[in-house]
Amino acid sequence: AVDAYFNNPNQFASSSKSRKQEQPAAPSTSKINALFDQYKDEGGDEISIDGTIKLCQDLGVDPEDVVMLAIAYELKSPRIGEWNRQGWSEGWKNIGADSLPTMTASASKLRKQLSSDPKYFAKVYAYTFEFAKSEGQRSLPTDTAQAFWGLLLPLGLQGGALSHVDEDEDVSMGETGNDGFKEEHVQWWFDFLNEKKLKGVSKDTWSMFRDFIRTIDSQFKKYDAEAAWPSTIDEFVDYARNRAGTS
Amino acid sequence: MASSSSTTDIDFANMPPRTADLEETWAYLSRGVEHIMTNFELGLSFKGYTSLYSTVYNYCTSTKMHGKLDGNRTGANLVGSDLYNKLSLYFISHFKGMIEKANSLEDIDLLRYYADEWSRYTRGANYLNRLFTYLNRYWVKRERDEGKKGVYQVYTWKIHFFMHIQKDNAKLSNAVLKMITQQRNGEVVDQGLIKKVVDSFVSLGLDNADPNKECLDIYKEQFEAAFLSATELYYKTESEAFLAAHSVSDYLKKAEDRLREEENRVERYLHNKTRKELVSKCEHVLIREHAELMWDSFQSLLDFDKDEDLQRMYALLSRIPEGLEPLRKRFEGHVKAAGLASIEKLVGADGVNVDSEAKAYVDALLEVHRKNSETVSRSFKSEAGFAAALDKACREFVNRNAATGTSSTKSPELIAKHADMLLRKSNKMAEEEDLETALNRVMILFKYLEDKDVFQTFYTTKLSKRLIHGVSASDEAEASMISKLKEACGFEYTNKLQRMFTDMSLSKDLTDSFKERMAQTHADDNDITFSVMVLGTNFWPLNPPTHDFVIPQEIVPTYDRFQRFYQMKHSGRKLTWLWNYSKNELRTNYTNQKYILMTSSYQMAVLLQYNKNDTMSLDELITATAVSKEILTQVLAVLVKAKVLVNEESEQYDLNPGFKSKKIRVNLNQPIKAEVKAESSDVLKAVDEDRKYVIQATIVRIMKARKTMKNQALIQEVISQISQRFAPKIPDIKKAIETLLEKEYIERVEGSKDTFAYVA
Repeated sequence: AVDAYFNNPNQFASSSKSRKQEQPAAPSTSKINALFDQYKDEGGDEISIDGTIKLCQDLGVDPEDVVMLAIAYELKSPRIGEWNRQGWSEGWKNIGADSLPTMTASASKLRKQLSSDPKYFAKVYAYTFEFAKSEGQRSLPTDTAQAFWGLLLPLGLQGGALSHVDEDEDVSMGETGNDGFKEEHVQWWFDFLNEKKLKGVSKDTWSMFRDFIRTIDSQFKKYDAEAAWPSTIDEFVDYARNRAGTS
Repeated sequence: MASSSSTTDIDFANMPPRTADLEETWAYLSRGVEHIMTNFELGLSFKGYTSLYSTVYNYCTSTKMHGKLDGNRTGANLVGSDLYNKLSLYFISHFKGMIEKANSLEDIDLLRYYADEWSRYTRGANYLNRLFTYLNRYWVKRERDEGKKGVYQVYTWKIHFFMHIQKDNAKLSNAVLKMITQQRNGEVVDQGLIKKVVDSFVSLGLDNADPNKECLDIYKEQFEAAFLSATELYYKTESEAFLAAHSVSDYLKKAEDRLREEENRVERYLHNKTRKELVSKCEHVLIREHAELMWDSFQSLLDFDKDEDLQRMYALLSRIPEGLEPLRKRFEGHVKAAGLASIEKLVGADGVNVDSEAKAYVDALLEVHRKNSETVSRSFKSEAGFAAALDKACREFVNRNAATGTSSTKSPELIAKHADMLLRKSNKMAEEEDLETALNRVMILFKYLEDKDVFQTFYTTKLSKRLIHGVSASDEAEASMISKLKEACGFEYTNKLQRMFTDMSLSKDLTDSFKERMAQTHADDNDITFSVMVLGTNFWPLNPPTHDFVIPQEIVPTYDRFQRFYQMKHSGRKLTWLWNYSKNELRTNYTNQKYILMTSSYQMAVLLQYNKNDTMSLDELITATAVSKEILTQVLAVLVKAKVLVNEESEQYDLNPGFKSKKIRVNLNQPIKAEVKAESSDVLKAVDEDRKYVIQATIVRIMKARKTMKNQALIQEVISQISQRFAPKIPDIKKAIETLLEKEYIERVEGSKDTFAYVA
């Protein structure tokens, strides 16, 4: 983690204080607002799908790029393809970007942070559930959930944000990937969900699944069935043990 | 006291003068002492006694006076000790002869001699003790008060004699032990003699602090310790030899006898304080040392119903703290196996279909319970641990056996079914008492049911059928059963059942008052006899028809009138007509013999069509009644089978004008297949749904009280609170927790994965 800090100082700069020290020139609120006007719907005061697509083009990212989740989190986007002025302007100000070039640069920094910083990942991950579900619904349709997991999980597993933490022992660093949940297991999880024909994923299952990834071993052996895991995860462990045993 | 006859050989008349010195005094006294110790049986005159007593007194007081005059403070001491020493020396020489004699004797002769001498000695010494009261009271007491431990009252000197004999290889106590062994071997021994000797050991003990207090030092050291180890050795040898040659059953008797015998021994000639240790020694060698063997033989005693042996084994093993637990465990296993085997036999070898013969199933379960419950009360004295083992085993096989398979709801269903059979009119239970007994037997099994809610649901369904169809055997029996259930499970459990009875009696009144009203308002239009049951939706497990129904013209007026009548009485209440549960009686006017057809509403609706037509097609009937084709064909099939209708061409049904029946009242109202089959699965679905809510409600109640709780603790608490009704499965509880998380009744405590908090 210390190395990571020196390599990517920006990703740790979540407080505005340190950011100000690095970028003495405070971002301009009016410039940020002007950009909002550029993308917003003609009739109202918010950016919707069309504006979002345009914005993505200008930032040079695919609308389905995982970084958009981090940006949505930063800008407090209430739902997919919806941005309001307040979230937009406070968000970019916090990030410290007031022009398309600085925003584009910030985007790649956010992607880096999202992939490697467990705490930041946790925040965006939790936010994604609220962001992705439709209003009034308590759970996320399974296919939607899979789409977002498909974005987030590989990134976190590759970058270290989802690296294995051994709760009992203090050794965790360095051996990431070897003894924990592997990328291929994401597909197992999806296969399992589809096989079970589960209608939706509850918030609890969503949030507990991140904990699960970080604590389970690659053989799914050290699973505490007595702990308060959601039953879907209980069943997945049975499934995965089976699959690990037969393959 | 002494005889009044004049002294025979000793003249105690020559009392020494008051001022006599030690030698003179002792010369006189020693004759008296000798007489008392050796020839006491010859007696001593009162005069002689007073002379001797006065001599002691004179001697002590005169010199004491003298000493005081001299100012010699220790005078009294010197004088007292002189006399004391003289007495001591006398005893030493007196014992000498006795000891010599004793040394030449062995075993019983020794004991006899000892016992005789002991009584002679104690009697004499007692007497001397009184004679020397003055010395005791003043000199000995003072000496002792000044801390001289070696000085005792005269009476206590007897110890010398005993110790001299016993010194020789514990000769005395060994002789006693030898006699006891002889007695154990079945020989007749002089118990009185043993008692005398053993009693002497007790009297020999002396408490230094308080000479009058009983002290068991000598008894314990010289006798008890040796006695106990001899006992242990004796029974160890005996029990091993016995078991090598005899069966365990015989051994149980033997051990029981031996224990009783040893207890009696304490009564007869040992000190009571020995009892505890003797008994525990015997228990150790006779029971504990062979407990393993007894445990292992327990099963075969059970298998062959050896009641007496079981009783004995129980009684013996209950004497050692760890003795019974292995028996309880084995007993539990035995009962469970018996229960499982019994049902296995029923459905296997006997091929009984339990669904149609719930009685056979219930009887088989009860028989296993009865037999083993008798064993508990007869052989195990109803001991709580065995009763618990029985209950545990019964709970196992009553809920899970060959007939239930993996279904936890089968047993409650069958038992409820059996209860239904008992409570039906068709049950020819001769006496009311018999029915009551049978119901009590149902309750025995009910107690063991894990899924009491399943029983409840089936029972409710069956009861509703009994009430609606009027086939309940008696109101008293119904009430009695409900009160039993209430007693077992509380008010809530039977609430619905009781409400059903209330509805029944209200409906009766309602029908009566409706009839009265109709007699007034429609006196001329009363050819339909109508009775109604108005049943609360929440209390009755009844479902409205799943399809439309065209009410036949003939009954519409009655239908409307009642509807109005009821709305007037209870405005705002919604009446749902359960045609699917209703029944009717139709009179045939088209036949020579007038029959009464007892029908269901659908049959009635079909038949009434033939008031206007003699022939109808299936489609016409469907249109006329609005009953679905699927059900209507089944309804028609019954009518055709009974030959009320004729179905000669496909999908066409004609009235059979030549209908004939042996009975005037023809029952056509038979349940159709689809209905029967649906019943069980409907009930179970309802139970499942119910359970979800019960579990959720329980969790909320617990969390509301505790605010935060760990996952495991919460699950345990839920199980313990619900197990009275049914045995909740852990995955179901987890699911309920998840539902509540989702509904935000509870939440996970941040930073802790397995703790939940109540969300107010």
